[in-house]
Formats: sequence, C-alpha cells, structure tokens
Amino acid sequence: VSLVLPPTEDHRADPLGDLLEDAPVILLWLDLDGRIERANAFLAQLTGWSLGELCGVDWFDALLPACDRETARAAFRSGVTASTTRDRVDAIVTRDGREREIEWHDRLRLDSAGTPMGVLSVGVDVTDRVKAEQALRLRQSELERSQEQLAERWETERALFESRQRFEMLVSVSPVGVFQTDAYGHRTFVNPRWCEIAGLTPEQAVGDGWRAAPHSDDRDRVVATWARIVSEGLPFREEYRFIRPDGSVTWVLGQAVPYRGSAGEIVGYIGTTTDITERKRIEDDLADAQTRVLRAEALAHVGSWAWNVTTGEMRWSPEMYRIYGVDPVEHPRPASDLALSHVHPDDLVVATGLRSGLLASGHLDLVELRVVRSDGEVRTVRSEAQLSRRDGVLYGFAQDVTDLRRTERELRRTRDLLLRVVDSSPDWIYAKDLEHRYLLVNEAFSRARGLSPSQMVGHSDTEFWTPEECEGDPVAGTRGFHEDDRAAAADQRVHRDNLVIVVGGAPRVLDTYKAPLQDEHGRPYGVLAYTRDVTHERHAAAELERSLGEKETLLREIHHRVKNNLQIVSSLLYFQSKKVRSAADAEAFSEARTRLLAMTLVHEKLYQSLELSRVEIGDYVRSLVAALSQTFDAGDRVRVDVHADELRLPLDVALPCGMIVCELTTNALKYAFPPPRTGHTTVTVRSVADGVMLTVEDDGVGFPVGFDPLAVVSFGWILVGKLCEQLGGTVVARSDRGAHVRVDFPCPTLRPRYASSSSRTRP
Amino acid sequence: MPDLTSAIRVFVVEDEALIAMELADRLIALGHVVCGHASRGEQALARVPVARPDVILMDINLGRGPNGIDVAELLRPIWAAPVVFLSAYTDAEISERVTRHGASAYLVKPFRPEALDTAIRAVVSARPGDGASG
Repeated sequence: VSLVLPPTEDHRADPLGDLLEDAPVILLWLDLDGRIERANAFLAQLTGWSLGELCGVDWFDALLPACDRETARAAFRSGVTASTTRDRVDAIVTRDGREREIEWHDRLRLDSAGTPMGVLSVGVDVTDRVKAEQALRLRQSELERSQEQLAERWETERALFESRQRFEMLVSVSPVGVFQTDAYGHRTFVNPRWCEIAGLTPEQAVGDGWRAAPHSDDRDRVVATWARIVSEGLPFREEYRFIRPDGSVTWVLGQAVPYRGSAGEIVGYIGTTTDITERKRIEDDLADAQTRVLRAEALAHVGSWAWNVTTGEMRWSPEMYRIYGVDPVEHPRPASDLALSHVHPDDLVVATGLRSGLLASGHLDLVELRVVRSDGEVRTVRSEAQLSRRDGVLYGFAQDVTDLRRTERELRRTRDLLLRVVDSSPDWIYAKDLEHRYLLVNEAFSRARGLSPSQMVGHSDTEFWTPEECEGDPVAGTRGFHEDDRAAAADQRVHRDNLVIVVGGAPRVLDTYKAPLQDEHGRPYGVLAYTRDVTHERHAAAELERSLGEKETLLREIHHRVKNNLQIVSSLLYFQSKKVRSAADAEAFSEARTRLLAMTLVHEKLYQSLELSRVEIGDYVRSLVAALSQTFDAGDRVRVDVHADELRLPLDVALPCGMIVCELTTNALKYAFPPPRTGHTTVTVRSVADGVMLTVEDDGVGFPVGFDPLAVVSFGWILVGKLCEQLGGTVVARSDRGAHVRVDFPCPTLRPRYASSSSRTRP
Repeated sequence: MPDLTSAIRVFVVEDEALIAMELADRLIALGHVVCGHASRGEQALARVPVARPDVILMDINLGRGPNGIDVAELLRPIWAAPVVFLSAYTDAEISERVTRHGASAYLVKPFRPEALDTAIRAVVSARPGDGASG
C-alpha cells in the first residue's frame, strides 16, 4: 500500500497516517479546482485505479457518473467559496464501470491565514448497505401492494356477489318487466313480471318469441325500431300495446340500454317493460276531461286562467281568448296584465283595486266588469279567482255574461210591461195556485177588495170572500170558485157569466174566465182568471133589449094596423061596389080589391117576420098566388107553381114586386085559360148577379099577335110598367106556347140569407 | 044533409068591425043567419053560449089577446059548434092545429062567397045536431 502525499506536506512517518492509509474508508484531498491532490490506498483498491493514475486528475471527470458530474462540481464550488461542509451519499464509478455508493463527510481545509486550500473528504463505501436497504424497501412495498390488491379483490368480489344477489332479487320482485338480450337483440332472459305483462311464458319469450306480445297495430313498428337500435347500438324507448292471449290489451313503455364488455364492445341489452295502461287511461281520461272542459267553457262562455305570480307565467284557456277577443297566436304567453288592459276605462280603477286585493289576499269574489274586446265590442265579464295552496298558482275564471244580462234585462222589461198591462186593466186579473192561494193579483182586483196586491198574494181566497157575499153563486161561497178552479186546472175552459157577487156592499154582475196554468211538462199548477164587472153592460143590455122589444112590438102593431086598414079599405070597396049598376064598374071594384090584397099580404108577412123590415119573397108570393087562385076560383083549371130562391127583400122592393106578380098572375088566371082550357102557370123568383129575375109564364093561349105590353093602354100593364120603372128594372113579354113575362130589377142590398149568415164571423 | 032551405045560425068572431060587417053581409046574402058577433076572445066566450050558433066563423088573428084557435079551444067545452077559421095566409102550424080541432074548416082570405058557403055547410053537415044539443 503506498500513500501519495502532497509534496508540500511533511512526510514524516505517522502511526495515525498509516492507519488512515490502511483503513477501509476513503481519504481524499481535493484542491480548490477539484483535482485529486492526495488519496489513500482504499480509494485505489475500491476504484481499480492506481494512486499514481489518480493523483492530479479531476475528481469529477474521473470518478463521478456523467449524470451527477456537473451538479456535484457546482455544489463543490459553492461549498468551497462558502466555506461549508457537507454530508451526503454520492455514487462513484470504478475503473470497470461499476457504481459504488459512498457516504461522504467533507471538511474545508484552511491555511494559517484562513485561506481555503482545498477539501478533505472521508468516504465510507455504503454500497452494500444501500443495496440491502433498497431490497428491503422493495420487498416491503411489494408486500404492501399485494395486501392491498388482496383486500381490493375481496371487496370487489363481495360487492359483485351482493350486487348480483340484489339484482336477482330485484328482478324477481320487480314491478316492471325486465329482459336481457344478447348483442343481436335476442331475448335471453325475462323476469316473471315481464311474462305476466306480455302473457307469455319465459320459454315462449326467449329468442324472438317476444314478438308475439305486441298488439298487431303496433307490432311492425316495435319490431322495426328494435332491429334498428340494435344494429346502431342505440338505447330503446317506445310506447306500445301488448295483447295477451286472453285478448286483454296492456299499454307498456319499453326501454333498453346496451351493456358493454371490458373492451367496450356491446355484449347485450338490458331493458324494462312498464305497464302504463293506468297512466295511459289517466292520460286519456285527462285528455277527455280537458276536451270536455274546453267544450263546456266554450258552451258556457267561461274562460279560465292560471297565473304563477312567482314565475310570472300566465296561461289562458281558448275561451279566455275568445271572451277578450285576443288572438292566441299573437299572445301565446299572455302578459299578466293583458286582461287588465282590456277593462273598460270606466271600470279600470275598480279593476286595478281588485287586482291588488287578489294579489294580497289570494282571493277574488265574483265581480262583473265591462271589457272592451280587441274589435271594440264591449262585453260584460264576470270573474273570480282563488290562490291554490297546493302549487301557489292563482286560478281564475271569467264568464262572458253579456248575452245573459241582456236577456235578463229584456225579460225584466217584458215582465214589467206585462205587469203594467195587467195592472192597468180595469178588469180583475189574478192567478191562484191549486190551494186557491193568490199567486198574482192586479190592482183593479185588489182595489175592489180595498187592499193592495201584496196583502192578497200568498193568501187563500177564503180569507177574502164570505158566503153571504157570494150568494149569487150557484154553489154558495168560495166552494163555487174552487169547483171552477179545479175544472180550469183540469184543462177545461171555464166561463161563468152573470155571477152576482157582493163587492163593497153592492151586488155586481161578473163574467169570469178561467184557464189552467201549466208548467213546462203540461202539469197544472194553478189557474189564471179574468173577471169583468159587467153590471153596467148587463143593465144597459137589458134596457136596450127592453127598448128594442117595445119598438118591435110597436112596429108589429103598425104593420098589423096597416094590414087591417087595407082590409077595411077592401071592405069599404065591397060595400061601395054594391051600389054600382054596371058589371064593368063592379069588375073595377073587384080589381081594386085584388090589388089591395097584394098590399095587405105584404104587411101581414112583415108583422109575422122576425126582422120586421124584410119579407121572405117566396113565402109572400106563395100566399099571394094561393089567394089569387082562390079569388078567381082557378084551383080546378089552373095549377100555379111558385119557384122562389130564399130571398129576404125590403118592403120597398117586396111590395112593387108583389104587385107585379099580382097583375101578371091575375092576367094568367083571367085570360090564359078560357074554359074549358086548363094548364099551368109558373111564377119564378131568382136571385141573379146583382138583382132579381121574376118570371110569370103559362102554357095558355099566349098574347095576341103583335102584343106589346108597353104599348097597351090596359091599367094592369101600365101598373106593371110603372112598378118596374120604380124598381129600376126591365120588362119583356113574349108568346111561346103561352105567355112569358120576365122582369129584371136590381137589388144591391140583396144577399142570399145563407151567404150573409155564413160570412159573418164572431169578433 | 041539412036542408038547404033552413037557415044556418052563424056567429062571427072578427076584431075589425067593417070586415065583420062585410062577412055578415055576405052570410046574409048566402041565406044564413048571423046570430051574433064578437070582436075579441072574451066577448066571444060570453056571447056564443047565448047566441047558440050552428057554426062559428072565427078570424084567427084577433089582434091583441088570444088568437082564434085559442078562443075556439076555450069555447069548445062551453058551446061545441063547428068552427070555420079565416086566415089571411096559409101557415103549416095553423093548418095542423085546425085539423086537430076536428070538424072545422080553414079558409084563406080572400075567399069567394061560394067557398064560404060550401065550408059552412060542410062543417055543419059533418056534425049534425051538435049545435042543437049544445
């Protein structure tokens, strides 16, 4: 072992120095530049370099691993300038390239003046110790890791186990159907609930058997969707129907998601099938209810709104838009003050106050406000609102009552008018229920009782009428009234006239009409009565009748007197005629008496007729013709027929007409049938267009040749001509197997009796 | 048949004096005896039993008071002579009542004197002795 010492040092032999040379520690002396100035044999032994080779070389370049070299040099330099020492473990590289771990203890060497001269370092080879420590640490960490892994695995397995167990339990008791498929979508598993919903056994469901479950209307869609999502690896979500073998239909929501293997590939699907029949039913019911509500709203003109004051969200039902005349497209989310903006200016102050009240109290009682619609029309709208405690939303209703209010107004007006009419009637108008209590009493009626209508309405008639007052009633007392009430209620028209009732102490003659009051089903609920005080009318009518009767009697007397006078004249002529000598004079008297007969008879007929001013012409002519036949004793030789329409002619027409008949018939009886000739004479009186056609014809000898009735000087024919002229008529005479005379005269007032009676109608 | 020569006693009921006069004149001319005259029903009831006629000539229309037919019916229990009614017109009701009255005739005015005579003789001969027994 040789020790290279710096030449400037004392080389005296030293036992400590020997020890240091031989000790299994590195002794190293570096100059300020880091070059090896001196080292012991152990360094040479350790590194494989000889001391000679080491001496003077740069420590860092020669022995440190390249990676540590510059760092260590920098640290050395800073340590030298700062006069610091350090303790550390650094690696050195041996000649054969091995690394040794050295624990260094450095000391800065100073000269006597305190100037650094270099660094003295002692290094202990701790390579083996470091290696052992490293190995130990490695072992320890390996142990720890394996322990952790073990614990982790155990936990995982336990969790997996629990999870599987829980899954299986869940699946078996799940209220939803659960299914599992392979990567191709074929069913590999279904739970009992799935089978229950689908109506299939697990065996039937596996593979593609599940496709039998969907309703035929939904099957194609579901199968196609399922195929598509499987091919694209997407989740599945569909609503469709299952139809079970028993025919019952179930709405289901099918959902499925893919699950993946460790490499991320889809290994299958797991899905659920939920019975949503009830939800669907509720949804349908809800939709139906909603439809009905909307329909009801439209029918009743009731709109509804909901206002979430917190979020400011306002919703209007379709009817709200209609009521306010607002376009729902323009205002899909109506502003909270949209309704307020439509309030009539006159009602705006009230409306604003109500709105504040609603916001403060959460309650709005029924209120009616006028609203101006977008088209300018003013409507009356009734509103109410209430805050829902459940969701904090204000729910309100608005009803368009314009038409209702208008109808009410009109109804009230009509009712007022009706009551005014009823009250202004001088006749009694009243209604009673089936218990004979007054439902309605007009003023005339109540006034007659000395009461007001309100004192009578609701009270029975027995409270107002005593039997003594009703003694004129065929059935004493109010019993008679009640019988009439019952008859009227039984739908019989009741008219009781000339009922004498004492009213206000005086007997009155009353005419009462009663009619049933019936409800909308035709059931009687009372009677309506109308009573007229006809006392005056009855007295006046009786007086008139008496007066008429008197006058009629007088007229009859006059006609009778005239007739008698004419007969007296006739008798006078008779006595006068007895004095005449010549047959011609006697004949003249006789003719005069015959002519008087026509006049006598007309008055006889008049005083026997009901009318006293008109004569039934057929009756008159028949009597006249019979008398003439008697006078001329013609009954055996000449038959006289009378054909007459039923005509009532006034005296001024009947008398000339009768006298014409008298003349013409006398002619026929006297001249047409010289004995022994016999034959017929026919007198006809016909009603024509606006007058009368009178004919007298016979089948006798006829007129002489060239006979002109208007040219002859016979008094009889002159009389016929003049009477005809008086009637404004014409006369035509001709011979045609006998004499024919036709007289036409107008009679404007003439009306056939049947026509006049049938054309008259009751007022 | 009654003797044509024997005079028939006729009682005339007629409210008009002149007409009654004419009737009487005609009856006398026909050879009958006018045994009495009344212008009203009451008069007739009083006078007929006294006059004891063979036949009564009765105008139906006597103005006010009962008509001729009524008077005839009242007379019958008192003096049951046949009645010849005189009327100015033909009336179904009167005809019917007259027919019911029994042995009576009905003449419509004006009538020929011959017709009156025939009627009087006819009713008297139909009930011979009635007048005498009454």
